[in-house]
Amino acid sequence: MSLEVFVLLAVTGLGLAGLYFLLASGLSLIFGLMDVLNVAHGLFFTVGGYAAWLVMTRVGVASVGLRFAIALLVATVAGLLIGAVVERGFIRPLYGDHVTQILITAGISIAGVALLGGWFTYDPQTFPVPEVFRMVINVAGARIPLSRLITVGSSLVLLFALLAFLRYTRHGLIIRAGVENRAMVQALGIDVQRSFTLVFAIGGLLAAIGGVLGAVFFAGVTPEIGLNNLIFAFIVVVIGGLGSVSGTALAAVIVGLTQQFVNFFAGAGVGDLTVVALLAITLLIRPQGLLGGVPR
Amino acid sequence: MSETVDGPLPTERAGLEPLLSVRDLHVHRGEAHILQGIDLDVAPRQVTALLGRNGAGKTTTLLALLGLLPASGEIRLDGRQLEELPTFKRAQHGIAYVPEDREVFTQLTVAENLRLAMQSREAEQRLERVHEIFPELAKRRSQPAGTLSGGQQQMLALGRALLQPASLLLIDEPTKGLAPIVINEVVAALEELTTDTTVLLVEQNLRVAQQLAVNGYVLDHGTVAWNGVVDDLLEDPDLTQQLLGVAGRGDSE
Repeated sequence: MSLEVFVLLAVTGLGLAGLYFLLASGLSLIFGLMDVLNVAHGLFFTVGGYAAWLVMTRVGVASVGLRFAIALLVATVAGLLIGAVVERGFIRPLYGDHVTQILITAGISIAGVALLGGWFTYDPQTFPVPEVFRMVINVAGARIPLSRLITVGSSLVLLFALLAFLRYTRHGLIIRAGVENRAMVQALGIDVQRSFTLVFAIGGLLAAIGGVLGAVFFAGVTPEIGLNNLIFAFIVVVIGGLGSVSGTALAAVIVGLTQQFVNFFAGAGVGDLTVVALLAITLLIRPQGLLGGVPR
Repeated sequence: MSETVDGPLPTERAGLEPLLSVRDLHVHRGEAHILQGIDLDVAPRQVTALLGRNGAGKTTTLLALLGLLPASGEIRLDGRQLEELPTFKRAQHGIAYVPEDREVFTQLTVAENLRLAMQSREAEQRLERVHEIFPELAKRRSQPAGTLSGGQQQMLALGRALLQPASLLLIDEPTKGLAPIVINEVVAALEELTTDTTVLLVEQNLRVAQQLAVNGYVLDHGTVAWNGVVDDLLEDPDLTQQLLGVAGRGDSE
């Protein structure tokens, strides 16, 4: 393989990894802390993409760059709100009933896709992006779209921000402890349910930013964009270890790169199957995931 | 009401106002009726032992008091009804818990484990006391708790409980699985900190129970089979054999 193909595949794979991470990190924290498999998480991603599309195509600000900044902000707030509302409105009333919680998140997901499809059709919606996203740079002879690198860089920044939040704030401390042993956190006099809304809001925020970047990455947003990526995000969560943010990041890189390289060399679709095989191997050899704690 | 004991509770005999009083505590798990109406009083500023064979319902009693298991019955701590409250509120009202398997947060450092339990200014002062009693915890502050030995984890679990503004400590088998020399260390620490604290102690090691506790209860099949002064129980080999299935004082684990 030529070096330029290698570099292009690697950068694209890492960009994909960034999107998977943004989707999977919230999913992993939610599952780790609350035992809730949030099937609606893909919708948070999609909402971010549509928020960006709406702002970019309907807000009358001349500067594309400024409009994109507004789009990012609106998507962030939308993600945060939808996460918090789903937790407060649908998850909390069913506290302790995991099966119903999962079913209701699946319902929200299906309803959300149908609503967006009804309003905006199922066609991909594209929007103008700032100049910098369309620039191409030369790396080792390969022409790399700068947008790929921006996706990778943004995901890295958010990864470190999330790790810092978990490590240096009291809320983060409670979340880390709660992922390991929720009952004991309560026995220390801490209302762990307050953290539930918080992790949903954080998860929604990260996924929505992922949705904005994803809409650029995949050249358009569709009602199913989140759901299509959610399956790989689930795989990333399991391979990385439930509740482990670093594990999620590592697994996202492995899954993104594997998918890109195998799809290119072995034919489209084989990479996706290989990722499923990776999942199976992980479950056989290390069921708690790469960086997961002791299996519970 | 408990079916096997109709006499007065130890605190009633001594004319003491109990800090914790439990009446008619029931726990069901599926089909099983695990606690069948427990009555118990815990006198302030002393250690009350909760004894009994494996499966008698000792740990279940503690979990029910904490609200970590669904239970029915009346739980009063310092005059306040707790049975309707969620676990974190019971803890805020003064129950601290040292669980059977320590349950320290293994992925967190020692300092983070302690910080988690600190929710007020006063906790800063209590931290100094905890570090005095367990200097090991100060030395190993940045070590992940999962890498501590069993004895050190026990000290962390105790230290963590002491940081809470607790009026009642529920301690479940603090010496379980520890080497004899470590047991002595833990017991010495417990002796020091129980001089002015109220404790309900589950303990299989009768020598330890006798050393620490004044009054005690023996559970059997989810009911109170005996209550009274722990010394009286352990000095009666027949009674000990009958209630606990062991030969008597000292030689049990």
